[in-house]
Order: sequence, then structure tokens, then C-alpha cells
Amino acid sequence: MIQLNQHVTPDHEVVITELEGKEAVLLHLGTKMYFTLNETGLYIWQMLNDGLTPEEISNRISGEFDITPEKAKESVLTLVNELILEKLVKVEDR
Amino acid sequence: MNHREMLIELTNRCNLSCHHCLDRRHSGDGDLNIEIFERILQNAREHGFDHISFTGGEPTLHPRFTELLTMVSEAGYDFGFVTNGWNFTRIYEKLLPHSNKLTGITFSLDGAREGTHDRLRGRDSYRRVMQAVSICVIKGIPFTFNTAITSHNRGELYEIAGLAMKLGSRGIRFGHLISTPRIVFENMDISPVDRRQTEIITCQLQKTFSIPVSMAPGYYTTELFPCAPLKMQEININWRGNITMCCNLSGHGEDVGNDDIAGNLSEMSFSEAYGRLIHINRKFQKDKCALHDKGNFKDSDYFPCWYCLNYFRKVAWLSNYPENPWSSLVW
Ligand SMILES: C[S@@+](CC[C@H](N)C(=O)[O-])C[C@H]1O[C@@H](n2cnc3c(N)ncnc32)[C@H](O)[C@@H]1O
Ligand code: SF4
Ligand code: SF4
Repeated sequence: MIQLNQHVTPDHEVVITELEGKEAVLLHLGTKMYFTLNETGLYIWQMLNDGLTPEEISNRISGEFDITPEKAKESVLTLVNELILEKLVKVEDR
Repeated sequence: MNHREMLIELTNRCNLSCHHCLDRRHSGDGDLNIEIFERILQNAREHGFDHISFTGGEPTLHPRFTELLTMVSEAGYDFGFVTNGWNFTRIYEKLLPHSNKLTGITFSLDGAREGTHDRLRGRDSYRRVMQAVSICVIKGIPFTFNTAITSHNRGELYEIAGLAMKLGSRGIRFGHLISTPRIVFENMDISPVDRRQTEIITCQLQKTFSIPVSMAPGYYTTELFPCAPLKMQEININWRGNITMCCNLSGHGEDVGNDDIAGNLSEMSFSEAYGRLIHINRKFQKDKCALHDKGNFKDSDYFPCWYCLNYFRKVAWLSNYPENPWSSLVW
């Protein structure tokens, strides 16, 4: 299980395609699997790409949207864990 | 009446400069005139044409591409196009209103691996294709792939078919190269014997994969008229508005024969140009039968596109390159 303060970065073998800025498709060139992101998922992905930790992302989401910090953490962790499982992101050991 | 298809080269402009491409297919001289296009739509149906396949150059670069799509679907033709995929993220929304007329998009995929594809087509072009197919999958747009077999990717045919299947493609079509000086310089082509080897592999792939795996016309066959153009089920219209015999004979430049050109649609009606094409085709058929019946066929002439390239004097220049495996086979 990923820790909230660990850095998680998109795998360089992933091609992202945004559709009208509202959703996105991730395609892993190695596994050839597609993965769709909704608007929130895309937002989280962009923040991961900018180097934010899951904790920082959760804080930002609960500040910007009307959800509790616990709920935000849960959502972010659920997505990040799925992304790890699909090899779409790499957990950095820094 | 049979279904008939028009291949229309919308432009000879292109954002890429692929190593294997015929110079005049991407030399950036111009776009198909929209009035000519309108006349094609008005007149082709009475000759049985009901499907249009756009090509180029890069067809999506025609400055009025969106308008052309509307014209085609309003005129009741089914359509598709072949593309390098580069602009797809920009144009796909324009396709959606015409999805009932869109039969599918063909993306050119020249390697299973990023490096192989990009070596031929330029940096980032593989990822652009992957973005394009991602959109197709999400939006339910049917797509297939085209692969030109080269010395670089001939070892990847199995992988290419596997990739196509995994990505959700409705099929994969391999095709042999049409020789160009650059192909010769860069040793991209393979010998007749090696071509036949790749055909055997393709046959095996047909049995291995659940999606259709096919070969474009041009593979070795004893059938004398094996393809849609020779059966008069397909014509080509180049960006200058010329009705021509086949897209494989188009874009070879000025120093080659041009007997495959029937007539220009700014100078004559569609019916007249099409009538001329029928004459060209009949003469071609007669000549090919005669040569064959006299026993004057070389083994390489059973590669039908190679036969056409010779017949229409598109490859005479190749005899200046004796080290090339096709050079001694030029007529
Ligand atoms: C000329 S392109 C035009 C459409 C678009 N620009 C593309 O690349 O898909 C059409 C197809 O012809 C193929 N092609 C280009 N040069 C070729 C050659 N010398 N021999 C065989 N096929 C070739 C391309 O790989 C592509 O699949
Ligand atoms: S093959 Fe297609 S993409 Fe490549 S240069 Fe030719 S026209 Fe352009
Ligand atoms: S070049 Fe000749 S054989 Fe090849 S597809 Fe065209 S018409 Fe058919």
C-alpha cells in the first residue's frame, strides 16, 4: 500500500490522450492496456505529473472541492493504487 | 451493380516526411480544388461509386477537410481515410456528426516498437498514432492499421499484428513497398525472395490472430487481375484532379510515364475521364494477357504492382542501381 507522502510519477511508457479536457485515456505501451480517467482522475494525474505527493493532492482537492480531507485521501489513494497495479505510475524511493 | 470506391488524394502536403514515401506524395504543392470535389460527388454515383477513401499526402491537412466531410455525408457516400494520425486529437470531433457514414479510419503503423515506427516516420509519430487509437476506442470509431513492409520492420510482423489486436483494431493490412530512389539509397526494400517469405508469414498470422490480417495487392499471385483497380472497382483521383488508374502509380514525379492518367476533371467531365480510364484498363488487360500467353512473363511479373510499375514506366530509373535486387528485373 502506498504511503501518502511517497512520490508517484507517471511511467514514461504511458501515452496520455485528453478528450476535451474532461477525461483522458492512458495507454501503456508495454502492456497495451487502456485506462480511462474522469475529470477528477485527470486532475489527480496532472498533479502527480507535477511531482505532488498523494497527500499534497488530497489537501488540494479537499480545499478546492467540498469534500472532507478523509474522503479526498481515500479517493486519491484508491486511484493511485489502481494506477500502480496497472503499472501506469512508478513509486519513487526518494 | 458492384460497390465501387474512389480513392481521393486530398492534398500532397504532409506534416511528415517518411523515409519510404513517394516524393510527390508529400512535396507540398497543393490541395484538391473544392469545385472539382463537388463535381465528383455529383457525378460519380451514376457510375456505381458509393464509397470514398481519402488519402494524400496527409488528407486531414486539406484546409477545408471538415467541410469536405459534410459534403460527402450529405451527398450520401460512405467514407473512410488513411492517415498518419498526427492531427487526430484535433480533428476527431469533426468526424462524430458523420459517424453513420464513416466506415473506418486506417492508421499507418510501420513498426510494433516505437523506435521502428519513428525511424521511418519521425520522432513522436508512434505516440501520435497511439493517441489517435485511444480516442477511437473511447469514441467507438472503427479503425484498422496499414503497414508497409520494410527491411526495418520485417522481423516485427508478428508483433505488429499482436499490437493491432490488443489495441482494438478491426484488422491489419501489410503491403509491399513501391520503390523510390530513397528506398533504394537507404536499403529499405527487400528482395523478391524475401517478399515471398513475408507473405508466408502473413498467411501464418492470418491463422494465428482473431482479427483479419491481410496483404494489400502487390503480393505474388498468378491471378492476372487481382486487385480492385484492375477489376474496375476502384479508381484514384489525385490532388490535381486527375482520374488515374491506381494510387500506387501516383506521386512518382515528372520523369516517369504518365499513361495511368486518364484525364483532368477541370478539363473534362467525370464521365469522359472515367470513360478514358476504362479504355486504359482494357488495353492494359489485353496487353497483360498477351504477354502472359506468349510465355514472356518473368517470375517477378507475378508481383502485380511490380508489373504495373513497369508497364506504366514508373521504375525505369531503378536500372541505374545494379546493386538493388529489383534492378535487373526492370523491363
Ligand atoms: C501515402 S500515405 C497517405 C496517407 C497518410 N499520410 C499516411 O501516411 O497514412 C498512404 C499509405 O501509403 C503508404 N506508403 C507510403 N509510401 C509507400 C511506398 N513507397 N510503398 C508502399 N506504401 C507506401 C503509407 O505508409 C500509408 O500507409
Ligand atoms: S507516408 Fe503519409 S505521412 Fe508519411 S510522408 Fe507520405 S503522406 Fe506523409
Ligand atoms: S499497381 Fe496495379 S496491381 Fe498494384 S494495386 Fe495498383 S492496379 Fe493493382
